[in-house]
Amino acid sequence: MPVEDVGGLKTHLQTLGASGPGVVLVHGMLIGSIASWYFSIAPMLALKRRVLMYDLRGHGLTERTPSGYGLRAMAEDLHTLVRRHGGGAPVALVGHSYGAVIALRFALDHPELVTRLVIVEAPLPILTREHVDSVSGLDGEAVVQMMPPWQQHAFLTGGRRARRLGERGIALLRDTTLVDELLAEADFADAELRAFSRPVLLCYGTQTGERMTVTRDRLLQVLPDVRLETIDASHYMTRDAPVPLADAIGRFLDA
Amino acid sequence: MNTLEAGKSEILASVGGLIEEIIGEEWVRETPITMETSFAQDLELESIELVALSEKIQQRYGEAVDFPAWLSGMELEQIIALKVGDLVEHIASCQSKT
Repeated sequence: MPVEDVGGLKTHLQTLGASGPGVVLVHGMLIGSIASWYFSIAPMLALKRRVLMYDLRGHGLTERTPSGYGLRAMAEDLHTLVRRHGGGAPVALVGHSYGAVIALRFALDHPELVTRLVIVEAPLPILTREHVDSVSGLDGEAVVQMMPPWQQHAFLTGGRRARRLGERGIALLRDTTLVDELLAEADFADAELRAFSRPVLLCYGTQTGERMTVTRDRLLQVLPDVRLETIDASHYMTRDAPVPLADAIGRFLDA
Repeated sequence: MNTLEAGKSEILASVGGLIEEIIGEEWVRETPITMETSFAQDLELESIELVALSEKIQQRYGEAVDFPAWLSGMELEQIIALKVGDLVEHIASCQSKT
């Protein structure tokens, strides 16, 4: 298992694809991990590209620290990886949900390191008090409710090992400052988004939530170089519609 | 046992060893690995552990076996129902092509 020290954080990463331009994939919160990409769109993207995936702080097999889950800190982890693995060259970024917001933060701060940006189902602002309250209780039940249906299935029918996934999600909520840090994040300013000149692809699902559709419409309006792909899927698009999603991303990256 | 079947039982032993490296000897003692063992129900393998297994298979069998591409072509129901035997058959068929 490749584990690298990224600014002092023991980080699990994986690569697919031998040659071609670099693409970095950034997964979503709590139940996301390298596996979200690895068995969905990454093999398709890797046919023509070098794909780098990593487990975010506190997720998958990367170390769980008490704090450091705010967008700047997470974007800084990404910055270290891009500099190290991009060989100084800019890369394309693909993020899902929380991961897309991290990718956006990084892209706005370091446009010189980004060729193109793909935002899959990002919510802005990243987290609201209302959203937290809607899944309050921070118990196993709440975390199960946040899982996509296929993981709920595995969780509810599985035994000891399946429960670990939920326990890790609970530990992130209970034992770290993740929620507080994300609630304290200021939303992106429209002026900052308007100044971002790199090409952006938005991928949003037909069966997604209102927080997502509001963000989609706002990003379409304020980003200068943006296009939208609407895909027949829920928020968990990598699972629901990997082939249409990989096709849309591939076309955009090749353009 | 013909040559093909002997080849598969060798692959099964090898894949079983790789799974044991990931989930631990203790667990394998409770759930012996056969062709009929399912990844989700019997082994309760988490998806991140499947990533680790994929990496080990790549190291063992090289480029001939593309585990992530094979899995990404499956429907969710197929992945949930996936058995160790399916992976053994897949590796055997990849090897017979080379």
